[in-house]
Amino acid sequence: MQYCNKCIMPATRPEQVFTDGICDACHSAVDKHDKIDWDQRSVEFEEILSKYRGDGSRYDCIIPVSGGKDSCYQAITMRDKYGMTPLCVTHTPCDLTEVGLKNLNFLRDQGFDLIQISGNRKSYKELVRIGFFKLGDCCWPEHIGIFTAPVRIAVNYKIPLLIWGENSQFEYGGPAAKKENNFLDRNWLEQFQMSGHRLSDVVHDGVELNSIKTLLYPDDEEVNEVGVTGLFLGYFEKWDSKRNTDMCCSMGWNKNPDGPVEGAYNDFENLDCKWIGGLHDYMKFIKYGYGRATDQLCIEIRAGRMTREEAVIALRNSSEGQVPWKYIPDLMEYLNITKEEFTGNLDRFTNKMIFERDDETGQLIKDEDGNLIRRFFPG
Amino acid sequence: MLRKRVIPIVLLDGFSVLKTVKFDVRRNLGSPVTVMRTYNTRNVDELVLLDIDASKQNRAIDKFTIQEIAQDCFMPLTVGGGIRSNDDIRELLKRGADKVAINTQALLKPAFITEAAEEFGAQCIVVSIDVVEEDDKFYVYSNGTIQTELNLLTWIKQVEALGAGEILINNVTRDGSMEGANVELADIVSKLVSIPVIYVGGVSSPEDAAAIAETNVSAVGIASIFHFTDATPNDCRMAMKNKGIPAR
Ligand SMILES: [Zn+2]
Repeated sequence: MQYCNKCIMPATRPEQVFTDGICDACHSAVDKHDKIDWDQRSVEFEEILSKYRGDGSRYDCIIPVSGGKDSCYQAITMRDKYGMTPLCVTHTPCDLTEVGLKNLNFLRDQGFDLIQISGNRKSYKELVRIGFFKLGDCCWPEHIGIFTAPVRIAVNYKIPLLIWGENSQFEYGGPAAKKENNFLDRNWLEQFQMSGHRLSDVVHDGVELNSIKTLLYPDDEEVNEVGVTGLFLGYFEKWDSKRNTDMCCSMGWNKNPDGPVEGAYNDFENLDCKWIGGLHDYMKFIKYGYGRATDQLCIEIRAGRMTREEAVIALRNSSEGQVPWKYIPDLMEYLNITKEEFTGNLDRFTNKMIFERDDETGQLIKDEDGNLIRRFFPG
Repeated sequence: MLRKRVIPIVLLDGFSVLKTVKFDVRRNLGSPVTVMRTYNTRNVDELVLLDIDASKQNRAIDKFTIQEIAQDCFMPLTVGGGIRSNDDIRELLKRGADKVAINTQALLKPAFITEAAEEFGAQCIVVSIDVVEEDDKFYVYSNGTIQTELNLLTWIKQVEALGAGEILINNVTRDGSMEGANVELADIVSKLVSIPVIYVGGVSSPEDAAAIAETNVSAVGIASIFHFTDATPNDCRMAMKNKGIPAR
């Protein structure tokens, strides 16, 4: 398995492209620090914003928020630095954590109006089931709702401008055509957020489209009528997750109270949903052989805060790859499935090329704690 | 007239599903199990799974990955990548494949087509042929180069005569472009032989798939528009029916 020579990302990461042994994200990091003319981009941004900026009597932009450090940074920055009047829109995650709720309240306490979209939870559960059993992603509808709910509000409230955070294709790697994109549209959602499944597919599993309205991207007609434009803030100013975290913390935002989320290296990412931090990242691990700690350590390397060697050691000492049991019972109860069904499904999604297996039967080999044994590790 | 099939083509690099452009630029699309389950849901006619790095790396497509996929794959499954012997074929059929696709080894040793067809039956031997377009002509492509000494149409006739049960034509020039399939190529090949032909490469929309289905081909293979747009196999079947072409 190939790993990036600069960071510790494997080539199995979806949408990752390697050139000369270096991943796209590391190439982007060089552009970000040395090549991109950020002053020019800031001028460009001001030109755009001046077309939308109001006098404060109405909302002039929408900020999709999870309550995480990045979205809190976006809201505060758009208001305080750019003089906009944002309406914050959050999509209720699968199962909101205590600290996630606190951080949404933090945003309101900072003086923002917040709309919370909670779609039909009966159908939502069926989509979690589809995500878990068919796509190997227990938080599938959450990935969709995060992107559709704010667009739905933009259309209905006639607020054309949406400010998203980072362009993940630029920051973390993706096809060339999408890396330089400064906007997000329906096709972006379909290409990168939906694991290749489409909402039209869920009908085959008995979920009616009428019961998941908040997850349907508004029609082109509706979008065009309002002139919805979704821009990435990370295209116009240099994105820095540590800066975002530091700023939010200094204002009273909360890190995870019990340290790093299971499988992670730091304690300030993916705190809002019980399953997105632990299980969703673990399912990524069994499919692609890397988890959240790798993601986070790569960000540290690319920001110049850590060497590759230090990151490899930190990865060894992290809990990445251990089954995240903390919130798994909640999921089994939510979907009404047994532990056997649960682990059986994980085994099905486990990439047979990446982990130790019996050479005759193909049966996965696990350690005494039920964890898989990696065949590859960044060296 | 037989119903025309719509076949998603799933490429693997040993670890992940990927999609190429002109057999060169790659996009990694993640887990084969995820992709299989989506196509299972969509109730497609058939699935083709090809490991495009297997031959180069002197190995066959991973049998356990196939076992995992075949276990609950409702669709007939054609598997290819690095198949060099009847033992390789036996192993893959045992793990759940319904048909195998042979490409590199068929060119290296044409008699292998006959050996395989005799042992396993022609219906389970698909010969896959990569084709490039140049100056309005078509050429066999293999190992990253145009095989100028080999005439495409002669090779196709030979493949049929050697006992292949089906031919899969992969248009390298249009691979991953989503800019339109080559109807002429589909037409020429499907008229040339009496065994079923699958055309793959460049399909831009369900309507484009229907245009290919209007030729004598028995199936249209599609990857990019299923991965990257909202078009589904069902949309393609609808487009075919709209043209009066029997599809499921
Ligand atoms: Zn890298």
